[in-house]
Amino acid sequence: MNRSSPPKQQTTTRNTTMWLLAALLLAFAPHTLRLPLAITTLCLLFGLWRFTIERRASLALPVPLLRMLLLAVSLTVVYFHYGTLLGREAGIALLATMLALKLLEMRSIRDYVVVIMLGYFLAVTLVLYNQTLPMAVYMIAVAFLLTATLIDLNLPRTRRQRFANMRLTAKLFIQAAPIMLILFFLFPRIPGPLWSLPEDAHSGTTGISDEMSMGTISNLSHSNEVAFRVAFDGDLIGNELSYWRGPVLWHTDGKQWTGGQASDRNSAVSYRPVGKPISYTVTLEPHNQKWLYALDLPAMAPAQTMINSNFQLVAQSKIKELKRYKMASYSEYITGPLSADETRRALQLPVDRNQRAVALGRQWQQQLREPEAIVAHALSHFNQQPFHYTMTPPLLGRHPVDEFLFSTQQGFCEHYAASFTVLMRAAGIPTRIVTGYQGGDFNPVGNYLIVRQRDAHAWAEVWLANRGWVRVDPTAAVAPQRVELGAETAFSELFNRRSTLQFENDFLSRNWLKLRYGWDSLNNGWNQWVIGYDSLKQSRLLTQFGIDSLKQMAAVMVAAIISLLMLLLALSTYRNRQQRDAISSAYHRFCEKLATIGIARQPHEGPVDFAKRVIEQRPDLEPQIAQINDLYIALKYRPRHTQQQIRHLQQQIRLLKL
Amino acid sequence: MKYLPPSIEHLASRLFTFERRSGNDRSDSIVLTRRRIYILPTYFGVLFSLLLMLLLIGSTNYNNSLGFVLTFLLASIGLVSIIHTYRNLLHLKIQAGKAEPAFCGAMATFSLQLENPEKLTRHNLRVRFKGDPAVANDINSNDSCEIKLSLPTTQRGWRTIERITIDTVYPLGLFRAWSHFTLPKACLVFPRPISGSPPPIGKASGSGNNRRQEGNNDFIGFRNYHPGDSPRHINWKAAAHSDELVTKLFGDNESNELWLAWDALPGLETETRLSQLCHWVIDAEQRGAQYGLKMPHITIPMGQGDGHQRRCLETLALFEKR
Repeated sequence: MNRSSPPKQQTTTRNTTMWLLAALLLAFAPHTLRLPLAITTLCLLFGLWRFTIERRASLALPVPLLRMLLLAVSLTVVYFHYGTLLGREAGIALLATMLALKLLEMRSIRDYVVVIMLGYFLAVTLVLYNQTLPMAVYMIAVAFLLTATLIDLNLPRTRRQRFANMRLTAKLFIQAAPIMLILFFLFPRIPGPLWSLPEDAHSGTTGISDEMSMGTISNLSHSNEVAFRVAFDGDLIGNELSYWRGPVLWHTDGKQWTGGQASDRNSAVSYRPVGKPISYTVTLEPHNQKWLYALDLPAMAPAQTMINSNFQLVAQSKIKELKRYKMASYSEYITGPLSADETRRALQLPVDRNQRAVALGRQWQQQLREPEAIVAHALSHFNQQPFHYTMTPPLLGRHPVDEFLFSTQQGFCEHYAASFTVLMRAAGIPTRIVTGYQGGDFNPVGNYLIVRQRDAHAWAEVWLANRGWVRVDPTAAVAPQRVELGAETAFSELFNRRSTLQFENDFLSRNWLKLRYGWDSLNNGWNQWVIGYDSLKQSRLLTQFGIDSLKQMAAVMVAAIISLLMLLLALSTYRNRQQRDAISSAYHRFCEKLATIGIARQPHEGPVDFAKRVIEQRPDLEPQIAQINDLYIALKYRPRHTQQQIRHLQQQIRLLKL
Repeated sequence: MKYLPPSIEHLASRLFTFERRSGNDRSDSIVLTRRRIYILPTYFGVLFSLLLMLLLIGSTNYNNSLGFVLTFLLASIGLVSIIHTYRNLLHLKIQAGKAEPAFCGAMATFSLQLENPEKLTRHNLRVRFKGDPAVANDINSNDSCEIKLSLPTTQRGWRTIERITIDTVYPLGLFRAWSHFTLPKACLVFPRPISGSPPPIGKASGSGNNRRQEGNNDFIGFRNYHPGDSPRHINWKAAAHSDELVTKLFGDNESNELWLAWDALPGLETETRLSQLCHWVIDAEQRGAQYGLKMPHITIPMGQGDGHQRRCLETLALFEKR
């Protein structure tokens, strides 16, 4: 029998604090890669401080005055770094520091709960930068630990069972999973954003920048954010033509590609169009950069913009609000001659970097001589060598092009574009990289094309004597689906393509490849069904099930959740129904029998006391009562007993004549 | 832990009056059935839902699917925790236990038996009757837990327990399930003992003779133990050596017979009189005297021992002036 503990203020223990600190550290860890060093140091310092206080009973929490001082310091540091306390980046820094500071005044249960809630918030900021499957798992792990802490706050202190909170959390998560799925798929999604996003909303990985290194564009491939939408005046153009031109990159240090000094003054559009222009209207999402996107090549510049020498549309100021502009483009063209300066820039290569690639390029130049032949050879090289197109390319080191061309051979579009450009420049062909978007999803409902961040692309342009700049997309040589069908379907198609597997002969690498393709297709499914699940997809999916209004959606959702909860309750009730064991039920009958003659067992009365009282009142029953009582106690409190003994007890009770 | 303001709870109780008030309330035990349990979010639950709203708006604004995943995951955990909180009370059996009598002004103690008839272990149940809750930590399957509620007393007589609340916020503290119940148990409250006038002495039935008996505390000999003898007078040293208990006798038994009479305290208020008598009873019992109680409506003959004292005190506690 348990005793109640004396009523006292429920206090948290060191254990709970440790759980909390571990959970917060986990939530904070990925942010350290992005946050300024000073802020990271400050947060870790506060956390360590609390940790030390927990370890040593002699230390106390800092006095209020000191905490105020620390608050002032933290705010200053954040403001100093970002110039503001608002916006996404500064907001996260502020959240992290305030959370860390709160640890130094965390005392009551209320404080703990507030910290846990803020911790959940910190967990969700993790996925603002990275929406990959591993990050999802990581975020759920953080939420798991925080929930375990919350449970630890509410568990009785007397529990000796280790990790009791973890077990219960696991149970809650498993039971919550189906409800979460219902909410995820059925909760009516409103197309965002609800209001204009803060200035830095599109910084970081959420758009194409004017710099590129291997990995920057593949980072975007997980983002489902809309870059711009396009309505065509005439027919939709084919995917193979929809190259949306962005920054053009000339200069490389072997690893990074930048625009170099583009001569904006030479803005005369010096190309000869072939054929009819394509006209369309672009609605550009704010991307906090100066350039606008247009199809290769723009025929005109909207108001307050111009076309620079790279055939790139550039506005006078950064695009911070939704921008709508009418455009026309020529898909076929012949550009003019190259100046001496441009030729130098288009052939620039850093010394002592990627030397194997440079050597290969020179070898091709000597063997083939003709630029067209060299380009064709390079493309067939990408096509015939075991190159793979993947969203999750391995990290590359000091000589990224060499490593990619000769060892890893797994890359996203920027790997192919950069390597191709290095090879061509080595072979003496003026080449530059063009970044932008390729393809897009056609929305049949609104009759427009949606271009998303995951459609970000990089390709190359080579300068050929009689044609001028010619677009060459080396990615198309490796994964034609990327260009023909767009990024979304490319990976699932690629997985089915057997031909790429044929050159893999030995068993191990074949399976390794299968694993890699499996991972890619998993990522693709993830992108389509989790990351890419938005209001449009939702209405498309639910219409198939006959749910076509928000009202219906909400009704189905609520009904499904309520029935799941009821099911959970029913299952719990069913599973916990107590089946009295034979011994207890026999004794129960005995008590009931005695109750009929007015001797009822009191709830606080043990069997021995009860037997004593019965004998006191009915001395005539003494032998039977004593025997039943002894038998019962022997059976109940001794680990070993036989069926025969139980039957004996049952018989004795049956035979009891009152 | 914070809950919603009482007014909301009151409203909830009035909205959901499924509780069948008759029948069950007279019995000694109560089973917390579906209809007896209410559940509402705590302050933390409200805070949590605000957090969810924020996360939802943020996820919509940034079009962030994983943001939605976390938001919905947390929402689902909150919903599932309702079942766990509710289940923590459901089918729990509450039985009235002993009610220890107390002197007025001291704390009276009620005991309750919480019985868990199911396999499910119950955690962190709090039982309260005005004031601090008593906490039952874990009640294992088929086990029970004794809860002692102490409550202040201000009046002699039967102290009933009007409404006891049992509640729990387990497991997340976001929801609170509670149930109110009454048990037909009462606790006897004796008058507050006041030592005003000195106690009566000797055989005199009145108060006329105020001479203190000198020999009261003089040890005069032993006799065999009778049930009812005060444990204070048992010769424990001797008991350690033999199976027989021996009671020490003090003073002159003959001159130590007291009549504690209502009439001996004229001119006082009823409560003060009772308090005085109460003190005398305790005092006489402590001294090991033989005493009787004379009240207007009843006379308790001479006697001694715990049972006798109890009977006298009960008479005083329940005295009603006509």
